[in-house]
Amino acid sequence: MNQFSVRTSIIKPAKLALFLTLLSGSIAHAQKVGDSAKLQKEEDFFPIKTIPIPEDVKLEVGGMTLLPDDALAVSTRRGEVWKISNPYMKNGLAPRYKLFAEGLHEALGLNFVNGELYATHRSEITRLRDLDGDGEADEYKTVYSWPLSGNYHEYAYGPIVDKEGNLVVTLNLAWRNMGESLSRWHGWMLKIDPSGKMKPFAAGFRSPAGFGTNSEGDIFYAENQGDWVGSGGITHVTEGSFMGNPASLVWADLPGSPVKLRPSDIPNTNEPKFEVAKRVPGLKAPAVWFPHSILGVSTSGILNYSANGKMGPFQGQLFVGDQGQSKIMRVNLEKIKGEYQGAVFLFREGFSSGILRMIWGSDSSMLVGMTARGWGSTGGQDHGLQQLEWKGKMPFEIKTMKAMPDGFELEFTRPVDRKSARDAASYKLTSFIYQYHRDYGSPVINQGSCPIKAIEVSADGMKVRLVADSLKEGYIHELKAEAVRSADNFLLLHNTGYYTLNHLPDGQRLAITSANKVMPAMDHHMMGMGAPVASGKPADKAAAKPKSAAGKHITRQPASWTKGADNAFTITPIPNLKYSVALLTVKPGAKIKLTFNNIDDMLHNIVFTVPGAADQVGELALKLGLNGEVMSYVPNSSSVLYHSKLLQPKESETIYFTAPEKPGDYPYVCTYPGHYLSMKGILRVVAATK
Amino acid sequence: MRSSRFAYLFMLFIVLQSSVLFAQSDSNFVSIALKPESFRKMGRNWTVASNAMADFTKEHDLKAVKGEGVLVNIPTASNGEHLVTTQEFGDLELEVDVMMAKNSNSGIYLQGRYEIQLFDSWKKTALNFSDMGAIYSRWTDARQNFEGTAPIMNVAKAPGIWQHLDIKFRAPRFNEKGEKISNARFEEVYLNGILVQQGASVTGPTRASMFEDEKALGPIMIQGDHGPVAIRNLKVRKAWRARPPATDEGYWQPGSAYWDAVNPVIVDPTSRPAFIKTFLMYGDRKLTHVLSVGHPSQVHFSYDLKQGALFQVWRGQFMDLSMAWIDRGETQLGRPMGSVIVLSDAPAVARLDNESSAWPDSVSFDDMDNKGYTLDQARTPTFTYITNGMNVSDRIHALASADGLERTITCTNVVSNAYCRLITGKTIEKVSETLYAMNDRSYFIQVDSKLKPILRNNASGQELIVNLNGGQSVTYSIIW
Repeated sequence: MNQFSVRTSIIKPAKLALFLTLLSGSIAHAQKVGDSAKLQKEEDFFPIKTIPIPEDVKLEVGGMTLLPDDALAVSTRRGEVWKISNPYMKNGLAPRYKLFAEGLHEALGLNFVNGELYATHRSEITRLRDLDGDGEADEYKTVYSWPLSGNYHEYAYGPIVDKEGNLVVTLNLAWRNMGESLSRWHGWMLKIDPSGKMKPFAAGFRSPAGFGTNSEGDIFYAENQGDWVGSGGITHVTEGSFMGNPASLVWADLPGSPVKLRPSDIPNTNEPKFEVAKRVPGLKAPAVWFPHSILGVSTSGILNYSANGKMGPFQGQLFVGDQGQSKIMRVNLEKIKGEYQGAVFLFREGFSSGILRMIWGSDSSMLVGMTARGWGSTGGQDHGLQQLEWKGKMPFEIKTMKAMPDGFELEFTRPVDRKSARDAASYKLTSFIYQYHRDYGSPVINQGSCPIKAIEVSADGMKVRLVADSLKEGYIHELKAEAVRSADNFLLLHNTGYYTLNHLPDGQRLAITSANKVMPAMDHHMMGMGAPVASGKPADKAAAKPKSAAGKHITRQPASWTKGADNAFTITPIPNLKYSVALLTVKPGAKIKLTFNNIDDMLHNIVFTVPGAADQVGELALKLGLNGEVMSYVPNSSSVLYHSKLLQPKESETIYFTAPEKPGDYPYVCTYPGHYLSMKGILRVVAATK
Repeated sequence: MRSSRFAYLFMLFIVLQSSVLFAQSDSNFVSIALKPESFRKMGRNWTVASNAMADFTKEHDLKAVKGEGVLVNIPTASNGEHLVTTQEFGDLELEVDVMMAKNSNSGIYLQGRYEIQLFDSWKKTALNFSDMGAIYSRWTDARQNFEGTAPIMNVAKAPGIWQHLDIKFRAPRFNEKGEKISNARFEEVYLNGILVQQGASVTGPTRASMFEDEKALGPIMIQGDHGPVAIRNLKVRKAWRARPPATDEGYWQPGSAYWDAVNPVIVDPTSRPAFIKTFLMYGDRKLTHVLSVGHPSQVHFSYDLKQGALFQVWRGQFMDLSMAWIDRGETQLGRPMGSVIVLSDAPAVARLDNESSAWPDSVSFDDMDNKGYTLDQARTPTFTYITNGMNVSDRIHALASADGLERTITCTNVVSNAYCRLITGKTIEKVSETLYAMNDRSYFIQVDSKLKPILRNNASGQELIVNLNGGQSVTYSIIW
């Protein structure tokens, strides 16, 4: 066994705490379960192997597919298609790269369908054929083309093939301060039949970079946080349905449109999306929400765990990539009352760049194609190609989380330790949701506890039935199972799941008995873990903001500044997650007026810290989790000196503060999740020269 | 204290004010009349003419057209005088149009000393100090053929085409003792609109200069003894405005003040054609369905797939993709790096009501069914599309001679009154049965001898069209 184990008997508590800090955040609470819980590591089960890329090949992966000769074909953002033989590095041989096609316009999709290779790029779907057998495409046939406005954000993705054999593509919205559909069918999913005829299929998309089918052939697409999108998620796309961003509806009147909604039908009310969907027929809430900054910031490729793959005991589930956080999530879906819903878990972190595409290799490993250019990723590399394998060992994981009329049923991959699994203190269940509105993103709203009333562990120890109060249809239910152990004393590899409870199923409720009932004392303990927040309105920002924040965020010039500010600065974001100004030099105690103008198309803030604390504050902000947005991602920390609020795209804010008296380098940093690694600068306080 | 400070400020104000006035008065170009009185002595090899003509296939062929405004130099064994201005200059920006004869050689000497080479470098891919736009080498008793700077790229055009030079020259500086304290420098030299020299110092006079010493002032000299050359539109100014500093506009653009270090992304094919799809500017319009094809012979073009239009051609380096491939590439623009000849973006094939109907400006998105393209063994693209019910194929390739591009348009299912437009421009001058000079000799159109193109006027000038009802292919070349 390679599994990493921690025993308090051999490591002193202080060292254990340090150890745990160094390990992934998901097991940070292992400490409190004390004695002899053992930890698992992702790499012990699912190792990542890097596939080498020649230095002069910019393999900014846009699309990937396997070819009949077992080569991997990769389309790139520079419009090339590369054929890579032996990406598996079998027989100790390195992969070889050959340029198959070029001259496509940011080819973000590639697929081999019925004997033909198709690439989707900005303006069209192109069929690529090698007519003379020299290993290079010499026929670039336009299968279907659409108009473009010239806006960079009008990306196109696909094709995938549906049950009827149609090619399916999605077209991104343009971006001009907000998502706009400046040319026909942008913000739509289109289907092209084998004769080349196009049928618009669904509307309301914002940034549909990833989509795929599940085992039933139903289409799901992954959306990114943005305007009208509170958080990422995956949504089941059906004919005529509307995904939520109204910009695309300007084309709903065109012939062939199956979408009945018009822009004026979409209210901007800050209600949760499922509430709005009740009175806006066709509006689809996600099947599964991915909480922003916790399970990704930019959902991407969707890969069905079919018979082609071998990736642990999760057959039938979907893997969903994330570009910004370089990681892969796992989704178990179920159909309740005719609609999909389910749970999402972290599956594997630590990839080298921004994940855009995953496919199954012919050896049943997962090939992961990446690009981070323009947005950055925690992986740090500009682009990359990696292979994820399963060693065949069984990790201790929550295999599925399923809805019950009165709670949830967890199925584990290995038998649980009955004692910890039966203990209500091992779990924490809370519900929350996001607002559906024109603004970019959303705070978490209506957070509430769902006290666990009963727990039943199955005879084989593979399942745990949880009965809980205060479950809410339409809401995301966060389940933390930090203290559940396996029968052989391991903690879960990933202990948190997010179940989107679109519907509570009908059926048999669990009879509460003395055997399964949670004892009042334990119940009380659960209640104490989080009081319900008043529902129906956003969490009160003032209440959420720590008291000590007063004075750190001043947006009006202090009356005492009778002569105004000593220094006035303007800072904006610039490409690749940076500030326009990297160094501000001021005198001790200088009165500073600082305007942060967010000209970018995503959310940013600016937070000044004590010397050397930028990374620490950035990490603390990440850990705010669900509270992050409402707190502007500014942690309640003495390391924070001054800060702006979290600014919407194209929003500007001016803050006023007095520079520290002590000379030194005071960092400023954007603490929005994923930004702190690159988006920072220095406020240099320099004593006046004599 | 107070008053003297004000006085200082006032003086500063005066100084600033006067320097502004000085800059303004000298920042306008002044033409040098191409008449004998502008020059010290005009040899018999120089002829005042209204235009010049050169056959790009004939060695040293250059003819003067009767009239005024142009100077044509046709040297003989006994007549090869240089042309030297009476006026002398220090710092200088000089603009001039030149026409070379095939394999001809001349040069422009600033201050009669420092030479920008004029040469027929048409189609050359390897350059040295003796090519068009080069700074020619020096030659002293002690050392032969030293210094000299080849042009950054070759944007020279064919003999018989008017080419444009823009030279920003900084004269050497001397102290009060007359000692040189800084070298003469070609700050910027543009050939046909493209930077071919920058910040190039010259430590002394070029080979074959008028003088061996260096001075603060000197005349402009145009070499007359090496080969035939014509010049026109010679103008100078003594000061030029510095490039304006970067502004907040173009914030996200590489090269703006906010990009600390941008490594440009350049594609320049050397072994086989390159294909690039980005957006491209066409005047102030952004074209979105366009393919650019670069050829190792440095004959490049861009094609609008939704118009069937060959809308620009150029020589020199192929493309700068920084605006499309760095960061998010917010403009998604490719930028041709060489000297671009802008052609029409209107469709090449159209159906007209009759032979005098105006050519359409564009075809709507849905009326153009573009089918893509195929590549042959040489990676020459043939574009195909359906318009007005006609199947059109459009093959465009760099001529093996590298003279330019050859285009063959073939239609099937030809409808009545279908036409192909070869070219449109301000002026079209018929040079021979198969050759036309475009826009005051800025490029040539050579048509298949079987074609009987109709030369007709249109709203912006003239155009050449061919009726497609004969059913034949239309083949013609763009030569520049």
